[in-house]
Amino acid sequence: MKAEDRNDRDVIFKLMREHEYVIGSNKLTILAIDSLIESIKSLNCNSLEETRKQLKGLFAIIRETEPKVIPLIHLLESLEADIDLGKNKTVKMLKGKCLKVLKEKRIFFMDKMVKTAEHGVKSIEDKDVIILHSVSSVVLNILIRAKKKGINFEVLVLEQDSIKTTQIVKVMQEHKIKFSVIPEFNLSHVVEKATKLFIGAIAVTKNMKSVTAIGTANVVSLAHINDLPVYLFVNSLKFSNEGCNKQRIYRKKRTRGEHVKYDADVYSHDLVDLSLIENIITEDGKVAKKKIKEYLSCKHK
Amino acid sequence: MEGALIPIIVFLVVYLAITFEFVNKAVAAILGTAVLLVMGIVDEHTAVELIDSETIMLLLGMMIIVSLLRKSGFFSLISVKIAEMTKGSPVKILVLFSIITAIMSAFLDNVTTVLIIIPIIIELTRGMGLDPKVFVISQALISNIGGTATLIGDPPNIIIGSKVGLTFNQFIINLFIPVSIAFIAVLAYIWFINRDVIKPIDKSVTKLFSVQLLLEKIRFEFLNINIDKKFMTKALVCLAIVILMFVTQTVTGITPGVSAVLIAMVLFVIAKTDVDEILEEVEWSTLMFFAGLFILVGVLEEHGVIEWIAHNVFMKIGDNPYIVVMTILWVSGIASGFLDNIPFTITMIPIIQLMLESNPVPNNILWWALSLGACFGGNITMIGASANIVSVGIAKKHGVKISFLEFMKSGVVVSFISMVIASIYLLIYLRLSL
Repeated sequence: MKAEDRNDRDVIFKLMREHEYVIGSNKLTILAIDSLIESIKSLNCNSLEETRKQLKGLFAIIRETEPKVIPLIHLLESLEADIDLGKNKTVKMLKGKCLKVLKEKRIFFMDKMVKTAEHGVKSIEDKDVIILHSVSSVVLNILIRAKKKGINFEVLVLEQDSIKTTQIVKVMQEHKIKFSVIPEFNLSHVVEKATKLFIGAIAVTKNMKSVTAIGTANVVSLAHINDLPVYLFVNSLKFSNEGCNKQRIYRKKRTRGEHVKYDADVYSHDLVDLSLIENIITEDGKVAKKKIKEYLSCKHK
Repeated sequence: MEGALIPIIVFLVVYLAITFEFVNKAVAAILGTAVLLVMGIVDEHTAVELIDSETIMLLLGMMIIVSLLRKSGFFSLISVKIAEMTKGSPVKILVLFSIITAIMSAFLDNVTTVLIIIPIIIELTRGMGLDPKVFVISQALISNIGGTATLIGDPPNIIIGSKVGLTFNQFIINLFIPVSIAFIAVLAYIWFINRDVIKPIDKSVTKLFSVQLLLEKIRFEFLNINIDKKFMTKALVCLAIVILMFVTQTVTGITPGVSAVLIAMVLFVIAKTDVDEILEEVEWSTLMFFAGLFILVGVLEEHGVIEWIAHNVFMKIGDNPYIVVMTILWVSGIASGFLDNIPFTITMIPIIQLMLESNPVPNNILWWALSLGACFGGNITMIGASANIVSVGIAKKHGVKISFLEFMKSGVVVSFISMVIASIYLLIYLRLSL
């Protein structure tokens, strides 16, 4: 791979990871589709062969991000099947077909998100105290819908870094949802007050683990020990037919400390065993654990 | 030049301290003043009278207005809009940001301009895998060029305009042409030497894709503030009014310094903002620095030192106006590249006033020569202008290290190009004036 191409690939990996950290995988998937649409529109290439090669190259990069954005990969796989890169006779045809199919995939994905949220609202009852950990757009959407429905509930926001927590607090304030904030490391003091824990994920893997935001594993463990029901909200596109070792979770050595320096291995995401999660909600509603294999084998779309 | 030895020594020590950054420059200037006061060289009343209050008021007023405008989120909004317009194209990044930098520098101060532009340009270029250095240096250079066009764009112009009585309109009318030509020429040069890097990206879907992600990141980072539209409108209207007042100075008789302070106070009242918070952002050390320098140079003037330099150095070059103008331009230019152009300008003003008494040059051309030299020459080195130092400092904070020589490599050529353009302009202007 040429140095410039490697540089471009690394730039995309970094940007995708940074976005996922702040906005979650659902919004990232939408953002990536919108970005693909804009970039294909702006592409100024007269050669059909070159255009095909470029698109294939870009899709290959997106499939290998660190970590993998599973819903986006599934959408791209079906996109490539639908547009059949080899069939289009002109650049205009190829670009036109790509744009048309991308817009369809966007609607398709949004639809799954909405349906997941609609089913998710059924998980909230009056007087619920819900612990909220990650910036999952589906989870936030569920809470907003529940508030609009008039359900009386409260949210305990686990404080992480200021960017993520600010995002969540903004939504709470905007929609006048009753909430309080507690540092993630102080959860043990309030876990008994809570009735539920809501989480999202970037993927559910073949070996029955969910790839989640950092810190989720500890939070889920504490919830499990305290018999607090954990709800995972994921649409079917997030189920991967590969194990967690294939998810390309990003790992970096970071040097920490001021006067005393040390190296720390930092991973971008946590792995949470599905055995710790009582409720998995998709666009089809609550999924029994024995049905998960169907999703993982990608028969269910 | 009786009794001039102590003021000369104090001035030289202060100048060295400023140049080599032994101490904070405001401290150096005020300490020098304090020494003169303690030694009875000047009394406190005379010292205060030597401070050009018009310059101080203009600086103070504009600092407050700009600070309020920045608080409103206006600059973040503009930066993000420009970033979106570039669509990640390196050519457009260079051109559009240079245009906005030049315009902002002309109407606000250069330091504020680079404080706003440099972070976003680093984010944009680094996010695309480009080397931000080229773009950081280009914006620092362009801000000095753009700031030359108006009375308020660059500190030397503020000093010249206030001390000599030149109006806002006179600056624009006389300097717009050389500044515009220099801007275009310098931009073309920067593009030419970096054309391998600064090229269109619309042939690569991968680059286009990453640009879209990057622009979204920039929108999030730079617009993650509460934009108060009412506050922004008030601040913008006040900025427009103060510029209008500058333009109509000859009609209203209100000096720019008075206009700036008046509108700044009006904006405080109508914006209902935290006054103490805004006043904390005023660069009081810069104002102290100016005040100290005015006193130091004023004392030199009173002791005949300036007159001696004028007669024995500058007037020795003869009375050929072409040679006089070119000497002022190029001496100012070269000196400004290596010394702080503010004390240099303050020192040169009384010298030029004396030169003009014995050898008048029409249409204030000597002042334009000083302005163009002091402003364009500031681009030669990293230390030649405040905007350069601040740009390099911001870049360093963002992990982009620019060495003295790296800056100078571009700075020398850019200064040379702009000084040649200034020379041609002034020679033609002089020819037409005589």
